[in-house]
Amino acid sequence: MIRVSHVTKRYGSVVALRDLSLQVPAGSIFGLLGPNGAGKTTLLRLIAGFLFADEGRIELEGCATFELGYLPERPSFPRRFTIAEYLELAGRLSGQPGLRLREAAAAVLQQTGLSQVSDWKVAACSRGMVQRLAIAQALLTDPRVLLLDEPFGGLDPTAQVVMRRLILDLHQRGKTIVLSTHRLADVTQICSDIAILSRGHLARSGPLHQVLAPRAHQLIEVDRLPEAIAWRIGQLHPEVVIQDTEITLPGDAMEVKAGVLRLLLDAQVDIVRLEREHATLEEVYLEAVQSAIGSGGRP
Amino acid sequence: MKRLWALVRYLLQDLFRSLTGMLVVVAALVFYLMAMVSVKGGVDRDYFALVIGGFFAILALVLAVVIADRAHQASSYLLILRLPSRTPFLAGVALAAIAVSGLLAVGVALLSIPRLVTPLTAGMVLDIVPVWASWLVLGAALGLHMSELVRRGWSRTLLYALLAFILFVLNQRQSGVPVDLADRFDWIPHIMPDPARWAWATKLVDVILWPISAAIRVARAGGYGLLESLAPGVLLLLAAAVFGLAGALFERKDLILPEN
Repeated sequence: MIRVSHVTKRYGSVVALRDLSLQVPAGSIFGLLGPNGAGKTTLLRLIAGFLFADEGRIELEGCATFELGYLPERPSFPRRFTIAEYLELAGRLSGQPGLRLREAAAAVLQQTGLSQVSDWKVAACSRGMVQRLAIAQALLTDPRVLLLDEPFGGLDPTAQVVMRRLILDLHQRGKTIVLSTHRLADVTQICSDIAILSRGHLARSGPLHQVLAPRAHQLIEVDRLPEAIAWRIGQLHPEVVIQDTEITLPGDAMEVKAGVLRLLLDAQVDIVRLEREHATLEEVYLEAVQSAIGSGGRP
Repeated sequence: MKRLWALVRYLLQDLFRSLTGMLVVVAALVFYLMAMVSVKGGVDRDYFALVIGGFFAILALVLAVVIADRAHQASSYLLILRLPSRTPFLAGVALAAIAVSGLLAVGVALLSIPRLVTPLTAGMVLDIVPVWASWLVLGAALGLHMSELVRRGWSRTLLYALLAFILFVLNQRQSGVPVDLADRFDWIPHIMPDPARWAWATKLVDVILWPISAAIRVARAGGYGLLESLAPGVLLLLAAAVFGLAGALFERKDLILPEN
């Protein structure tokens, strides 16, 4: 588990994070969301130990800082070194013995699709290849905790799919993964927990299903909705929204649902779909960010 | 140790795969040609010991700055992260600077042996080597403080100010190689309202600079006493303290390294 307690971080007069507290559960895929300048990269660098909090503390349970796997937002490597040379250096600095290092390097090169180009110099690599090298070095020591800053940046669509699968595979192997991204669709697909930052404040945090739950609503779709029935529903339940053949019931109110369904069934209306809908992450995100701005974040 | 060795190898590879690395070798060759070959009638022991030692101590300092500044970029994030603490990273930088300047010093010294007026004896080598080693280590440790990698707040400015002050005072006399550096600070009491009360200031400077003065005497004359034989050791202790301070500054520094 990673525990962030009342952390404040300033760059001169600019407050990057203000009294931030959150917990990353062990074994979770934790998505850090927020607009540019929200403090995501600062938080990851604080966890990785590159920066020090002005106030508050960060605790890593069961893992030392140097045992983390870290993927920076814009990975950078010595340009005159080959991919294989760099991985060997990274392994040796991590204290891996020779044989294990060779095996680990071969495995991560295979995982990231760099086996065929391992003798290429970094200077000759495309941005996508550099990104994959960054992933390879992060996985080299089989770390228990991975910090991924914009892991999908610079990857083509195929590589993005591979990256998503890789993250899910690592999660299944019990790794704790903290990733920052602007790609809400990816977060919805792979993250178990999220935190939304806005201007250095924590706007929302928790398991993804809980963060989305308060905005749950229910949807009833019918094949056709007689005007009289629609009018009757509107009269009895003004909170219900009707659009063509879709009837949206806010919240979890069973009484409203029962009343609407009774009206529809009495009128022998064919119900095509009935399901509980959640607010999209995009809606939650926008609301969280806007409310944080409204409540006054840093200027 | 394996981690440190891997780091030193990396830093040296990075240096010598660049133009800067070639420039360092060229600088040593130019120094040899200008300071050793072009001296008419050969060089005496004093000159040999002090000029080579002094030049390569300064080269160690410059190399520590250069290597540290080459490491002061975003590509070092992922290397520093892998170390249990940050201090070994600085140790790697200092060791790389000492290794290069030491090897070049040995090379230039070997090339210069035929230029010596009096033949080099084993005793002379035993006198000179510890002194040179202590100067190189101190030079590299000071160089760390001059780099952006280690700088925190006004730390570098303070060091520059201190070195500028020492160089200024050393240049007050135009006579050749300094022997007793404390003599150069005997003006201190005289600028005070009551000179007699401030005589201790000269003594203090004498004590602080004693290792350097003594090491210079050892390198020049040899045949030193027990106390002077400790001078290189004291300089190494001083270098260790300077390195320790660099480590303390670097260990708790916010690393915001520039992108390539």
